[in-house]
Amino acid sequence: MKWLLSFLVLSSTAQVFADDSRAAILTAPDPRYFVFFLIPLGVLLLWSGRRIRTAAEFYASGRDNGGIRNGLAITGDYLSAASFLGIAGMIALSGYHGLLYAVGFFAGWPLILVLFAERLRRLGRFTLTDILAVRLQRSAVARVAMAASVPVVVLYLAAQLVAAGHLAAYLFSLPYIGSVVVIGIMTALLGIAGGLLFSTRAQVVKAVVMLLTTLLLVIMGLLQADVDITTLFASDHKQQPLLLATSALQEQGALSQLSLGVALLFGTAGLPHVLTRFFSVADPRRARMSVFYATGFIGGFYLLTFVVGYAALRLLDLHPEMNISVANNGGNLVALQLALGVGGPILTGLLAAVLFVVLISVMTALLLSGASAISHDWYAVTVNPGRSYYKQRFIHSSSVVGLILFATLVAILMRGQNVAYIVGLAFAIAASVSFPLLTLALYWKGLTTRGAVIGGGLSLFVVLLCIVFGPAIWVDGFGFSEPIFAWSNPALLSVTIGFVAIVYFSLSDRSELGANERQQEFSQLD
Amino acid sequence: MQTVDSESSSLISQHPDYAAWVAGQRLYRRRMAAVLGGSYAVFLLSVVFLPCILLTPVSVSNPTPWLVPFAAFFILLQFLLTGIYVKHANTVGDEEHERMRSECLRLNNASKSAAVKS
Repeated sequence: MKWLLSFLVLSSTAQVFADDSRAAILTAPDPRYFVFFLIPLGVLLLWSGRRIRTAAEFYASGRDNGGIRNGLAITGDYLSAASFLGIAGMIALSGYHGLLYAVGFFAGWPLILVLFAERLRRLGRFTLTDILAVRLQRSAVARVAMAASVPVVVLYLAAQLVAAGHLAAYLFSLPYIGSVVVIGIMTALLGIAGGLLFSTRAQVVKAVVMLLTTLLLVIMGLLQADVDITTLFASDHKQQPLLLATSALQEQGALSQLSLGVALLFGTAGLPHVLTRFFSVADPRRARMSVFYATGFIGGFYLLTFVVGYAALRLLDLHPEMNISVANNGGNLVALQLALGVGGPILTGLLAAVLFVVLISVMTALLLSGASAISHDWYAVTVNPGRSYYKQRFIHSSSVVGLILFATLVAILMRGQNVAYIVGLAFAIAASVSFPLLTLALYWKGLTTRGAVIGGGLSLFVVLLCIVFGPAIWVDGFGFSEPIFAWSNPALLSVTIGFVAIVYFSLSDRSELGANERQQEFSQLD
Repeated sequence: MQTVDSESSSLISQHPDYAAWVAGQRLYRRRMAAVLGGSYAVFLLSVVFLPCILLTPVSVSNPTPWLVPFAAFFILLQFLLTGIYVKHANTVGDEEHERMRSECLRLNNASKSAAVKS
């Protein structure tokens, strides 16, 4: 690493003094360096982690981990390359609300630890279906959980595809749609083949590589962007002349901003699977310590994204030929532009390779999670319990293809959007359906199957309607001049509807089943 | 994956201090959730309603807007609160639970031995 750092610093220092060559370097990444770093990274990850095929193998892989090691593995699970690219771009495009994204994505994490982690651990259930089925009817809640998780998976997948598509298009000078389709096919094939569910060791490697690469980018950004730390965050940028006043989110008013804040906080809390590796450690004390370390690593990572976003902005001020919006409307490439500016094609290749590997691993994990929700939680449990193995495999593979097709279409529709913004929409769905269901299932005895199904379904319908008729799809995707639903994120409305509807339809449940469900005791949750 | 052993759990639940311990743990978690959620609410409401203050430079010589140290402070605060929660759960919570468990097991073993002797 020391050798690599010295090499990169020397190579980029040479570029700073060679202004003539720099202009060319700034606009033309070299894909050979990407391939050069991609191969060893792929080999390293495959070497560091054997493929995990079953839940038992997964839990066994984490059982004896120490706090820091498991904390890094949790960080590897949690960190998203798409969010990194998106947040850096959001900060560069709209510094003010970019920071809201960075803080919001982080803030949900400690909250789920306090609200849910201990209860879920004592309950011994970790998926939404399993948690709801402790007291409610499995077949009915499996449909709600499946309906809630599939749109989240599709939007989250679309966000990763947008990031990967722009990354590949930028590196190889390919058309965006072609890049997205090729990456989509590649991900589907990996998903059908069984995906890349990484062991704890491979997630540790992933987290370390991503943290170190970001740190390297920040150090070189600070060294090379001709600014000191006190002036880095100043709001006098040429490419962002009215830092606050022109922000689209600001124009939509206070409720729209509050809505985004709600989505970012409760969206994370609506995704209980992010805690999976917390449950894989046998000793509860070590498990808690690992979450503490993970909080430090994740928080540190988001602090680094502040610097990446502002350093990119500062560098791009010095080089107007590298216009943010011309490279990418959503600002999704500013981190790579910064890497190109301060580290040349070598650092760009390294960063792109790290991000690409992380993107592919997240996409295949998402695909498997979505396909399992359809083929196992829904089809095998509720539609055809006596299915054959081959029939279920067929449904699983069909789900993989269906999900990636749908996500590819959404990624094409949202090509001009910032990736963090798309992730924010996925979080809005999780916050509106999964979070109320999870909270009420764990904290309220009055929840009934009727309340969960009708209330959860209504909330899902409202949030999807608001997203489709909102600015991202109705205006930017379909080309209409005005959105029918004005807020860019509907969570404030849909989360409220979710809680109210689930409580109302549970309280108004007069059935015998409802009465029985209310009488069932929570046991050993505290 | 570790879940609570049902025999051990039902034993502990008979301990005279168990109900108070459960209530204390629940209260602590809810207070901590309120502090975490409340601090986020303060951050969010400040970003939404106080942009004029948060965009003011820290000082004449340092043009960094207040928002940046405010956001960084918020992240550090959440990290610190997580640490406090983990320390509490790993010491006060677990040690008390362990004390009750060992007392219950000792009493249970003693009553079993007495039954065998009689």
